Amino acid sequence: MATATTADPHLADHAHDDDHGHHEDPFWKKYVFSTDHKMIGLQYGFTALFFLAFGFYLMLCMRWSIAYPGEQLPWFLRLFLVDRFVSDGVMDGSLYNMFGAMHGTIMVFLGIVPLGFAAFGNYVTPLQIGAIDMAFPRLNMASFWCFFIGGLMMLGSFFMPSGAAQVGWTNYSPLATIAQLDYPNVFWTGQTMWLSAMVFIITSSLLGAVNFVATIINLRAKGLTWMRLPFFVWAMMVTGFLLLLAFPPLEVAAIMQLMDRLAFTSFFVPEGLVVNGARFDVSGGGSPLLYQHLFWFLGHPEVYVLLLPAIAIVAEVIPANTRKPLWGYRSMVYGVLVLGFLSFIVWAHHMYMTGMGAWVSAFFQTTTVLISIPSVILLTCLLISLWGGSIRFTPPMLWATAFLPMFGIGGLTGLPLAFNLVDLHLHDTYYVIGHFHYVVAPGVIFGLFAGIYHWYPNWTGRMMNGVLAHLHFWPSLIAMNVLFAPMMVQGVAGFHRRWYDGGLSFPLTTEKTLFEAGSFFSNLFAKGDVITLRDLNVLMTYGALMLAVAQIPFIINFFGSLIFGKKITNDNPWGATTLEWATPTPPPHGNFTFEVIADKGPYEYSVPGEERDFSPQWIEPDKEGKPAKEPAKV
Amino acid sequence: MDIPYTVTARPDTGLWNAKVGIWLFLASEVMLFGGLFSSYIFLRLGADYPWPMDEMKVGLGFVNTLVLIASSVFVVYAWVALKMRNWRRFQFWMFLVVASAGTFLVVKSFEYTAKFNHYHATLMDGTVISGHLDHDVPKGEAKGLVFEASHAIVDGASGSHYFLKYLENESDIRFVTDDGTEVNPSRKWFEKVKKGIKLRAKADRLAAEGDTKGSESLTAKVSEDYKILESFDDAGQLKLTLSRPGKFVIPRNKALSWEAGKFEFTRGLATTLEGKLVDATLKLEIDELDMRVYLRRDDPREKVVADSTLFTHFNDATEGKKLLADFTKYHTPKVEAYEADVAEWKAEHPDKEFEEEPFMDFERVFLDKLHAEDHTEHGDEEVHAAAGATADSHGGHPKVTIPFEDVEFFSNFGPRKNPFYAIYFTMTGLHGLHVVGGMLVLGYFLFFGRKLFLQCPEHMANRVEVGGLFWHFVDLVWIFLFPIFYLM
Amino acid sequence: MADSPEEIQKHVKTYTIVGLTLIAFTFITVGVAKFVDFGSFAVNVAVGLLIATFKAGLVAYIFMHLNHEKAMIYRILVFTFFFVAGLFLLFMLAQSDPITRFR
Repeated sequence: MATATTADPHLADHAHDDDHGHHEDPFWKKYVFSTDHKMIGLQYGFTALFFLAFGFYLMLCMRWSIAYPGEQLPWFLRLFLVDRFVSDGVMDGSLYNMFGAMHGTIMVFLGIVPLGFAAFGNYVTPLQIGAIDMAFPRLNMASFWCFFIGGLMMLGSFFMPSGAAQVGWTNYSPLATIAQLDYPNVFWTGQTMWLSAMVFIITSSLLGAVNFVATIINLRAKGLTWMRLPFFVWAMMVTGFLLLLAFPPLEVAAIMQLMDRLAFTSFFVPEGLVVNGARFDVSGGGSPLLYQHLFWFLGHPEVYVLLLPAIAIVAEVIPANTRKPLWGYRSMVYGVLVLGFLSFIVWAHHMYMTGMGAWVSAFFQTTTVLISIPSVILLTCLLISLWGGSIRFTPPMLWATAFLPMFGIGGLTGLPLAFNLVDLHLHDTYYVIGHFHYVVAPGVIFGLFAGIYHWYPNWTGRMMNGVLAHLHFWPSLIAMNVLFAPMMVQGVAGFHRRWYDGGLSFPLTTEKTLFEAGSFFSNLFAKGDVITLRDLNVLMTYGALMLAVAQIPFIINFFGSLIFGKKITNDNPWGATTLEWATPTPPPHGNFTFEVIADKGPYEYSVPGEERDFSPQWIEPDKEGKPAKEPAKV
Repeated sequence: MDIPYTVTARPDTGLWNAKVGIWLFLASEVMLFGGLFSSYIFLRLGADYPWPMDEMKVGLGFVNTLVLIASSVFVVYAWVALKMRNWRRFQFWMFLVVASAGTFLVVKSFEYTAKFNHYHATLMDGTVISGHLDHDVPKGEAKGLVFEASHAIVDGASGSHYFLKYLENESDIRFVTDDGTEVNPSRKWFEKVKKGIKLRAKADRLAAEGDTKGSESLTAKVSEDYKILESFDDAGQLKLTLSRPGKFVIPRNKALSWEAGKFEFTRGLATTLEGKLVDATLKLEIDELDMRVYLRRDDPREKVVADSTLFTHFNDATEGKKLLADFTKYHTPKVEAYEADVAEWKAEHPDKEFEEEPFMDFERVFLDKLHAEDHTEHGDEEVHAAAGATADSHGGHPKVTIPFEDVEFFSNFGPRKNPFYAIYFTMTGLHGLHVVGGMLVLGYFLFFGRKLFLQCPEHMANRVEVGGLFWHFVDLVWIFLFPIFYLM
Repeated sequence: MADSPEEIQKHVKTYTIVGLTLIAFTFITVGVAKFVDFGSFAVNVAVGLLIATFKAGLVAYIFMHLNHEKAMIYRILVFTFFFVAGLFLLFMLAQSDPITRFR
């Protein structure tokens, strides 16, 4: 990644001064085909941030077309649109479908997972366990490049004659099997490319997961026993297992769907399917339900793959800023293990509408309700950790604190969806969209922002600007809620998630009165006109635009601080206890300058009797870099 | 800077890195094949046709099982040799492993080829036949449509590929475009046309933007091609007249629709032909027959079986009659026995309603496969044993020519045939890829491992152990694949 | 794990015996499937799968050294097999629900 080269060269040189006998790698080896976990983490991070921005752009276009169906997109959205998509600047249904499908895919598989798991995981995990690198550095590089190729294929699919995939991010068969088949070469259609790209992305995730878990098992520093691991490492380990065991069934599904499209098999094609009035010329006899099972077998653990890195970052940020140990560390660890375990047996709650029988529904309903217990344990522990702390509202802490209620809303609105009967009503409505966006957008992304602000000094040796951080945080917080809260209202009223015209053609549902004409709000916002459910679309669109504007201070801050940020005076600017702060800043290739030995738990803040309000996990080295004292018996 | 624990084990876990790694990888492989096995069960439970296990060649699968098991033993021997620091012996055993892997793949390829060259068809009335393509007719014509075109509409941008692909004899054809120019539709010519279309679009855009100069220079640049492009309509399609009828042979599944004299293919609007449909029939030499759909009715069966449209399509009508007679003679006693069974059951359970088994029972009711030839020669008893056994011999199989209107579905015994073959090819194919992968890795150790062996023999032994673990896993998967696809 | 050359040499005999057993059981697999009928389809399948599982178990236990592996590996595998079981059982459950099931 070219952008990754913006790391301050001075600091990098400085680090190498300490590293005697280490020769400078050539540029391409250091920044492009690097095997250093920190560089790979940064590569993942920058790629993922790009994809997040791109996915966000797709969403802006969609939201505009929902609020103003049939009208031209504003100039700043049309700017990036190629003529062949929309010559007159108006989004039509198929373009909306394409953007919708790709928004989901890109955000989930190319944005948040790579940022949370791959980028933060790669950068932080080996540092936090006191390792010099991942267990398999070259595998790590291969995993990034697999991901990169997969990402390029996803992007490239927009420029194919057919355009990108259009069947939703879940890519349900049989629709996905028959979509875009009327192109001369089915292989070069967006729908097929989606599957091929997924195979690459899945392979990347699998390699990454093997690497993470092996690293955590085998490369922990001396004295760093399991119960001394920071919660972040635990979360990474569980996430690694989720990816490792949940992704293969999706790979199976992708391969089968590829066969369906290219070799005309009937894995997911039922008997007697009629397409465009003609019998679809395959044998039939397959089951569309099979695809859904395989997809959601991944799909649900994937939710926790998205979520756990964010929770884990918050769990790192909170103790460092409350100067107080994480409350209930052990229960959080057991909680996250149970969470990972349960997440494998809840998947069919996405499929209540398929008419599964009552017994199976009841089973999945029960497990789904059960899984809220460990989630609540995690959130409660984080919440109680705030209690009685002397909280410093540093930029990462702002995001971390906001994460708690936002994720709480997201989680609690999920409870009704766990129940079969309620779900039948709410399925595929904006309520569902609102629910998971509350989890993923103000929840997970806030956590990831906290991580960026938290570890930025470790990467660059400079702090990010506090004023800009506030300018970033407060508008984002408000905009997120303006954007997502009305979705719940609409959803309960029956607003369907795939109406590209924002419900214009379904007035019975969408023009229900929200505020009577002449009421307080209607006077305030609509010049006394009645406000209907559909009018909320406009509000949400402005929320989305506000959210976009709110990211500008972040971008300025992020790149500006590389040069103008305040230099940190010691390697541990937050006064944190975990091992990533024991390295020089930025950490050189090989990370540590002394032999790391851990002799205490990860969150020893404000220990009575200590002179400082934090007691780092590592034993401070003497001048030769040897540990000053022997570690306590493990 | 060296990563710790690549050679020696970490004291507290007792493991070196690669071992943790390979077991984690195998865990994910377990999930991968678990997903596939689970899909197999799902598809099998949902199948409304008998799971066609008996169509597989047990012998080949059996040989492959033995080969893989042997190679699994060899790989352990190779690892032991390395632990003993004996490079020669390691090479010997590892060579046998790689050779076994090669043998496995060769056997597999024979199996695949046989399946791909064997065809089956379901007729509109439900009769199912299988056999080989008529050997006296070119392969494409035996299963495709033959069309003689006098006019063609080709999509300049994407239609040319298939247009040329299905054109029988490229050099014979001359097109007359609207302005009277005669052109030979070579690949090159179409490339030129494609480029011309792009340039024209660019020139149009420049003109629209007001850059007349750039537009004119572009137009001038493509003036030669531009003449041809004049005959393209707005949708970028080219209408052509053929100076003599061009023969096209088009696979059935690429054809979108055909009406009298008009023909569209390649699943889109890419190409339309106008002319004469010369031949739209499937030409098979049949070796298996499945009349299940008739036998399930309550009417007197012989009459209904005789109604099957199949019997009107024999190239030699007497062969059809003979087959029908043999068939009747074979199945009547079976059906009678079944009827008797049902009657008995009904007598025993007067209060229950009889439900006909949707899954056929080969032995009693439905005649699954009647080997037309062997039947008369060997008598009833051997009909079943002989079914499929002579699938490779072609002599003496009755030939049929069936119009496509009568064919509901046909394919070779490839993945398209039904979900059984779909999952069979997917699973064995993925397993085959694993064999190839293992072969590459173990082959690398065999041929390029010497250097590491001299430097650090233990590291080499670790690598071989890891490779071996993968290889055992591949063997382990096959141990399950063999019974579920070939036997049960 | 038995790492010394002498101990490994001792295992070679075991490996040979296991290999021969596997080959013998391959014959048994085919023989049982082709010539022995245990009365019902389900039992036939169950017997076939049992034999296959036994063979796979031998490969995993002896060839893949699971007979003397470290605890960590077992932990990983136990998790995996739990989820594979879920993958199998729940898929089948979804198909065989007594209320909606066609059979």
